[in-house]
Amino acid sequence: MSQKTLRNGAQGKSVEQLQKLLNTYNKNTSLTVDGDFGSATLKAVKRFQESADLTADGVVGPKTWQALSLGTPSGKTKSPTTSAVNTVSSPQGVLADIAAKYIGVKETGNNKAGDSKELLAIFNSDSLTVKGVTDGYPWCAAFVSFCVQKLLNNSPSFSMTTPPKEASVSRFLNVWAKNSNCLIFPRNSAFFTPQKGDIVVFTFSHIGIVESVNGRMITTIEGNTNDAGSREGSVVARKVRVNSIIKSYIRLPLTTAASVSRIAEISRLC
Amino acid sequence: MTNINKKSLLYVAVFLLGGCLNEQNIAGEINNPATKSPTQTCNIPADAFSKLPTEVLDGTDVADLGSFKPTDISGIHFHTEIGGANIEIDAQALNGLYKIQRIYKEPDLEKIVTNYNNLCVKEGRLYGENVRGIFTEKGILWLELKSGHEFISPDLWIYLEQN
Repeated sequence: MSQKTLRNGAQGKSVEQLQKLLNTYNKNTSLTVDGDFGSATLKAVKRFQESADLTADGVVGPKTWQALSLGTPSGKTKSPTTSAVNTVSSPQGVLADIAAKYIGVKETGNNKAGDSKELLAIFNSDSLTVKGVTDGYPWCAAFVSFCVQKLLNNSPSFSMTTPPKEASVSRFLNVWAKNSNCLIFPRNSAFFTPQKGDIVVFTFSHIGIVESVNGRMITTIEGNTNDAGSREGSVVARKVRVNSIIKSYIRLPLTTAASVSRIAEISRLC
Repeated sequence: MTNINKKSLLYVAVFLLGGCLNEQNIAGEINNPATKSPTQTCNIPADAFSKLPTEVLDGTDVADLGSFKPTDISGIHFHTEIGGANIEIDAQALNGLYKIQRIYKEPDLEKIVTNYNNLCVKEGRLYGENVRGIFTEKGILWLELKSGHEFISPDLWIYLEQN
């Protein structure tokens, strides 16, 4: 089952659902929910598509519906309805729970795993070996690849996504996430706000997983990050980060069925 | 007579313009080959270090610029690891100016080497049109204003330790 493709001139219940979702996500505008895909809805769709790094053609096809299913309610009002929408469960959140199990995993120095089975598994999760050995290089992207692999292999909500095997932050963001139809949005997005289980890419070459969000402060779990007293990354640790050093967020895409079900759930609560 | 005067004026203008351009080259940069001319002096504009970021990337943490103590030039080879990449800086003195090679290396990707030439180092500070440096006791604070690289931000100094 998939959502109907909608474009300017369309009418009906699907358009109402679309308008509700756009209203829920958009902090700045409010569409009349009349089931009529007119110029205001077209404009809102294009803005949404731009924000989700999609082609802004105003046509609501599978990719736009997928992005709509991944949106986070903006919280522009404090009504009980919005609070209810905020409680819609997110399958991506499990990613942070997986990452948290590895807090404390530490290298022996110079990015070496030593006898740590966990860290060796992290290094083995990417496709990189250097001079015949699997460790010895910065491993924050390997840690995120490892956690995402574990999630994708165990959750039916993501069965269409090929697990990442990236050792590089650039490749994770620009190759794997884009090719996998992940939702990628900047820190100052008008439509999307970070949530538990998002992947966070910093303005420098570093990547982690969002555990919780409190205003501008983001609690993350990161591999190869600084521990108290260390100058360079060495450990899986929980960190509190300010939004200003974050370049973008990556949200894992759902299967079509999970996407449709989430849209219905959010629309029902709007 | 009028023609001769016009010609003279033109020569004077070209000469002066050449002088101005040379002055700019003193602190020019990317891929300008360092000249083999006699030792050159360098000047750092008075406002070169104003309106710059106040935060420093130290490993994967962000620290306040004020927590670093500037000193005179402390070394020529520096490095850091920033979570997902290694960055190295090698400085080389040439005719009173400096050449810096910055190497950026992410696992599984080709390393990126960028050269900055004709940089001015004075009183523990390094200046080029689009780069700044502040030497500290154990390293250097490095800032690229137009790196052209998505993970070398103009909003953060990067602290590299001496090798």
